[in-house]
Amino acid sequence: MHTTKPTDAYTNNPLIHRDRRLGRSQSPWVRSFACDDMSVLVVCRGPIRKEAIDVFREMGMTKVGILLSEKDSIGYPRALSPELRVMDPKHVHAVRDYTGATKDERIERIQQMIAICREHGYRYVFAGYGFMAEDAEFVRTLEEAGLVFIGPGSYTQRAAGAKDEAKRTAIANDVSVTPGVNDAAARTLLAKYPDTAALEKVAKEHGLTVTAGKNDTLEDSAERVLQAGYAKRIDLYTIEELQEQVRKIAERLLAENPGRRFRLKAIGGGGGKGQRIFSEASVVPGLVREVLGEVKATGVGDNKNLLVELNVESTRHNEIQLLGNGDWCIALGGRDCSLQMHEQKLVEISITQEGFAAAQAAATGRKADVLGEQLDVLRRMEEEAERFGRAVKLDSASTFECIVEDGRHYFMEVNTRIQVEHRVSELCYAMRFTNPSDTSDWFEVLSLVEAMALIAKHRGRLPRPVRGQREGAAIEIRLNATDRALTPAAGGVIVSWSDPIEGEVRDDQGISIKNPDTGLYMRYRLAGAYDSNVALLLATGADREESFGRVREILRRTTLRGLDLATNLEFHLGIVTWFCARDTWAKPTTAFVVPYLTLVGELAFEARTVDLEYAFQQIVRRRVAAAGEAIGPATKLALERKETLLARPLLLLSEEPHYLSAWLSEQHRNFEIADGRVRWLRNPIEVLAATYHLLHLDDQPGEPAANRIWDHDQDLLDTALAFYEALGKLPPSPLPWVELDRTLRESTTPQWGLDATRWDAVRAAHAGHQLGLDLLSLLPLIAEKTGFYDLHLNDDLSITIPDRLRDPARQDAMRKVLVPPPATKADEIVAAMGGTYYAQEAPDLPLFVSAGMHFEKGTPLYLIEVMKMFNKVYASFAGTIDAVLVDNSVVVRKGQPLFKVTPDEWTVEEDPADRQRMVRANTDRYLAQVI
Amino acid sequence: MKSKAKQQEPAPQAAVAPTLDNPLDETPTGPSGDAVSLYDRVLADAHDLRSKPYAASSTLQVMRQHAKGRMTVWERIDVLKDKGTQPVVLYQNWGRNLDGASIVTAVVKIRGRDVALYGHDFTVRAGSMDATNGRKLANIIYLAGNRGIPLIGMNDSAGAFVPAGVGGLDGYAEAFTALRRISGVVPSIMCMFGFNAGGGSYLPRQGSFMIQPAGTFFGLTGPGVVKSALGEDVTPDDLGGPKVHGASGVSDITVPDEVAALRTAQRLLSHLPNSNRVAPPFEPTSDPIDRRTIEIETLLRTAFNSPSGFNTPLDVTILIQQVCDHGDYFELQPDRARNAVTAFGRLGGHVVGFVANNSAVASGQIDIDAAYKIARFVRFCSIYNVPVIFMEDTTGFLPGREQESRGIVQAGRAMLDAIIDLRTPRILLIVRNAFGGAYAAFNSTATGADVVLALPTTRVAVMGTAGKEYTYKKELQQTRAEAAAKTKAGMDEKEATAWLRSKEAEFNQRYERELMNPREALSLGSISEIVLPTDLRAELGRHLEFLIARYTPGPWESVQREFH
Repeated sequence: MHTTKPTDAYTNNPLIHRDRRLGRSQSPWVRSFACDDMSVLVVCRGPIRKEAIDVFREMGMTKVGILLSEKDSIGYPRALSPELRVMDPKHVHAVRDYTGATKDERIERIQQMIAICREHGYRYVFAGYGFMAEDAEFVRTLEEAGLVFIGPGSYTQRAAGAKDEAKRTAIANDVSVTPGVNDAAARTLLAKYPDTAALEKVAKEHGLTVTAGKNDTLEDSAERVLQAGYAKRIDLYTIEELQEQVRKIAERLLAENPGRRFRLKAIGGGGGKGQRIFSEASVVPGLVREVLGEVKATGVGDNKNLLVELNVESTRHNEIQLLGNGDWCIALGGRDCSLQMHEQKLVEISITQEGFAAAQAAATGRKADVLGEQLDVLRRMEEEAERFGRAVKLDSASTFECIVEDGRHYFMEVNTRIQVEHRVSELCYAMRFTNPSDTSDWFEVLSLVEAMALIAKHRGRLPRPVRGQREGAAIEIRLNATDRALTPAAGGVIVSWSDPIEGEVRDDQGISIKNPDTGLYMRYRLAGAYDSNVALLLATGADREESFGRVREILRRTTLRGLDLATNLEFHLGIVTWFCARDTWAKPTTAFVVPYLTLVGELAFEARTVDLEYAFQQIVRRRVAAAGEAIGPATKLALERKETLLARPLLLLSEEPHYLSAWLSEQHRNFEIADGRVRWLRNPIEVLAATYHLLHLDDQPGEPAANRIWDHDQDLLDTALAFYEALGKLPPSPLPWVELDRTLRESTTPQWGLDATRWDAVRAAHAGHQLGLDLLSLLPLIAEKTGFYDLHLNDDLSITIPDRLRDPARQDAMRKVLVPPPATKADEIVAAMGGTYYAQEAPDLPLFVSAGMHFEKGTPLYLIEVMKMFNKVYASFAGTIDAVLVDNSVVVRKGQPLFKVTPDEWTVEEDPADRQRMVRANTDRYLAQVI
Repeated sequence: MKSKAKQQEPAPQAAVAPTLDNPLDETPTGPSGDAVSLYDRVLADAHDLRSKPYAASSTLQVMRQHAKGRMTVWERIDVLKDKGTQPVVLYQNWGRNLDGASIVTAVVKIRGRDVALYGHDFTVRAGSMDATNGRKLANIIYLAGNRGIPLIGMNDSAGAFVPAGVGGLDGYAEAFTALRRISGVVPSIMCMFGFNAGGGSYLPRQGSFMIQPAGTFFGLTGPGVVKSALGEDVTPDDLGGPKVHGASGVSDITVPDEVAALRTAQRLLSHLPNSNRVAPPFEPTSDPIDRRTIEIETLLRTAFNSPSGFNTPLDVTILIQQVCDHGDYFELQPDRARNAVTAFGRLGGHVVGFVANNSAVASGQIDIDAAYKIARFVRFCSIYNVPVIFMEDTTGFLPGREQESRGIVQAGRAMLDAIIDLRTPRILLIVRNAFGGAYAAFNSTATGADVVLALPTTRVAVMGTAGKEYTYKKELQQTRAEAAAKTKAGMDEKEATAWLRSKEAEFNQRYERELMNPREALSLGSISEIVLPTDLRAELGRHLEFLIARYTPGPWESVQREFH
């Protein structure tokens, strides 16, 4: 696997694979950090497992084991962990699951892992970003068993992992946290009893037993008195006093943060209850009563504490990569993870001080200011992260998470583990470890997993590394098994996946490892037993724009084929292109993706009301008619010849709204729409060529003809492009397309030194090559009608989201346009087979369903016993059970009604002829704008 | 925008007839035809002839093929053959027009192997069969048979060329005959492209396997004839699309598109021998043959410890997966009768056929479809030197009026005949249930199995718990009488019934304990040995290795039996 292997982007990719054996170094100092004798048990799954196996083997380790859970082995056929194809079965250890479903199971699993380590001689344990990785209990148990955890030790886990303690540590270390107060009640009490003596006195008066701590502050004492009061169910302050106190707090906070809004939260609140947002202090007393009432905390002795926090309006999610060995701690740049949906990250983008500085230098105006602001924020976040890391004695890799808003950032939490998106950082910064006594004696570490293993083994011996820039920028795409609306869609089977292109990092859990014996692609079922993530795709570049361009190229060229397969590949191509076409420094908030998807849903809805094949026929008819008798036949012939060239890519665009979105972003500077008409600013032939390119149909020699532009279409397109290239050189100075086009259409007198014959020939060719391109103009018109460009980028890099895209009802409606939910005409569910019907899995287990119950698609509904086999039957749509029609454990025949139901989605009966009339009428309206 | 300009200034330009060329192209065209020698002219003529089949169709005809989302025959060949190799095209100038007569026949390399292929060229006379090209087709078929190489057919034909008259029908008959003559000599894979009716369906179904992509049709006649003859309105897809043929087993495999069909053909081919004279291709494996199949143990434990206990269905493909090299297997007829699974896989590098009852679908009962599915697959393995591993887990044949009226007796018989006739190494693994007639028929020792292995969960019995009626006849009668007596004595009827039920349940349990186990079959030598779930790959691999070493691949030369 080392030096002799030829480079290929999957198994020997220079970006992520290398010989990491320090034991082979010339330098004795470097050699002393060898790790080849480590034996590691990898206890997690996901892309990190394959990465860890690779990295550890590259470090020279020969004994790397993995756990294999039941879901990864027997859950579904063809869902067997692909890593097994390269594992010695001796190093694969079966477990029920990786984490255990309950606390007891978890403890049992930990003991099982320890037993496996003992039995097979693993000294180190690596947990990646699995659930176990952040479990202080797990880490402590391993440590006590004499094993070494490759990851933050239990001390760090506790100090940084617990949220309240982390926040205290943050404040103590001058780390920026959300402004506000979380002890309004204590402050109210202190307003009445401002010192220890007064507090003691009031406690005594009420007969409260308060045990004081050694180093109690005044606030601590107030807190203890309050707790004693709640215990005895007496009030030490009135609601009016609390109202006044909170009003004062609000007044101060609003004055300190002009123009901002704050959030009032009752301590017993949650799930949106007991919360109010305010922007002036006068309304606060009223709100205090409202929130207390809402959480039912107005009674005597109730805990009436309130929190007042800055309301973060437009959140961006940034995080800093940290690495430490307990003594030192170093920040390795950051990642912008704002592109996410329902808290699930979709795209992670590197942020580095070097990157911001360079971009700022190249920018002007408002953009330069904003980039400068971001540079300052990043610098502060990195400094604070390092301080925090040292304070918690960070001894491995961790992530310091913040929310960012304009020029401010607020610390949220620390993830004491390696994160999914860690590669984004390791691709940007290398870690150089230098011999303290000889500066020419050093080694470089380019992998965070490698660094974690090194620290686990060598700890304090490792000097603080210096970070050096590797790649200017990196970006990661999460390829998930989700449908067009990004909801999980498990069950598909990958039949083939194009090989990675140069510069592509594909962390796919080993799915693309071919059958080692036959070299054939192995089918892989995306069982969805865990999350929907399939793979991580990364690209790098000298700067952000280049990295975006490259990842877009990866997305464009990735071909996944399969059965019932749905991934977010198309979504990613659309959204990455959205940024590429505008500005990759744009600052989307975490609330960007849903409105964007809604916009794509609108596109899909409109595209379905346009019949492109019909439109082309109409264009032929009208063009031929307009050409008249003399040139009609030639016009018809030329149009016939162009049918597949024009219709094929446009049909593909209209069928995949995410591609249509990508196309509209890519082309948006190439046309204008005025008075409802499209005016091309670029030769539509070039636009057509770009369309083929976008759809990855133009550049794959050796691929099956059906997956490429047809050869005759390629010939036609090449001829046209060559013609216009030669034509472009004829005028004395280059003409813009609009001018060139007009001259060719209108001037009957020869131009640019051509004789009359040549001029006519050129005009004839121009007329021919432009014929039928009217069809292209339908796409901008669809965008215009749906308001696609209403979602736009501002000078300050913020994004304007139209109100309609924020409307939850519209979001839901468009989600259903993108992915129509399974609908049914039936109001009953019938027996799938004949046999004995059972309403429960076993007599002592609960009923599967009962009248009035709502069921989702995939919910088990009943059991049928056929010849001693119990077949579980699942719902094929979602709905509500109105009535159960049969008794438990009776024999039913196939097709016999079992339940009366009301489905969530009824099949809407639509006459296909009506639909066709509607679509054609709409298409005619579009055509009226084109011809 | 164009019309806008027009509206403002109505047609100022003299109309030009549009062209699609590049008048500015300066590249010199080839040497002119003047002053060439006689020899040059002959050479040029030869060039013309050689390129004739490639240039037989006009661009517009090719476009029409493409507009339907279909490739031309040449493009299909290009997908199929190894990169960098050239097909050896045979009879390129067959037919009166010297254009190959709308059928391409060739020998190509696929993963280094020589494979004969034919493909209709739909762009030339719609790939129809005329007076002479039937013989051309027969020739390539005989070539495959005589030289012992597999055949791939890429069918895309409108049928007989009507102007050719009876000649077209003779052409079909010649091809039918050839294909029947090589059946059992060399394996063949038929890809169904386009719209094939009549002879265009019958011919390819004579092949070993059929692969059908979405958006295609084949059948006796198209919807038009159905409409005029029967008045039925039906779409081509509902009449003869992949869903229809995949469910009936007429198509062995259905795929999303043409490329997938060709790739699937390649994958299937990697499991097939060149002919009945040799074994299927051996691929040395890096998967240790003694790899412990712990997962199977886990699967059984999970299933049998679940609330439904021994009656829990389980997906048998997981067993097949765990046994196979690197878990890779190739399932046939996956859309039909999945209560039985037929698949190719490799074990220790040797191709093996798997025939398994799948309790996860319809309780794994053997019905008519399952029986025919198994019969056809077993017969294929028998002819082409493929060892077969059976995995048994069924309570028997599916009873009932529907099955009887459709002829389950005949279908079950076909399965049994195919199994008895099976001459290649054959192993049975009993997973759980092996009851009654199904036990006897499903590669039992008595039908000729070389080895019968049984998992500890094996339950061999004449019948399920209903058998208690015969086994404990007297005791049951007595118990029932007691129940009746209790009622008479004044016991509440409900209570008495409950008492009887619990007693009967005890008999069930006793029956399961005493009779539903492998003991008797072991004692009779009907089961060779008990194997543990974790040793399944090792045990099957060991037996297979032994049997294969003592099996000489060759044509099947026993007495010909009647066969359904």
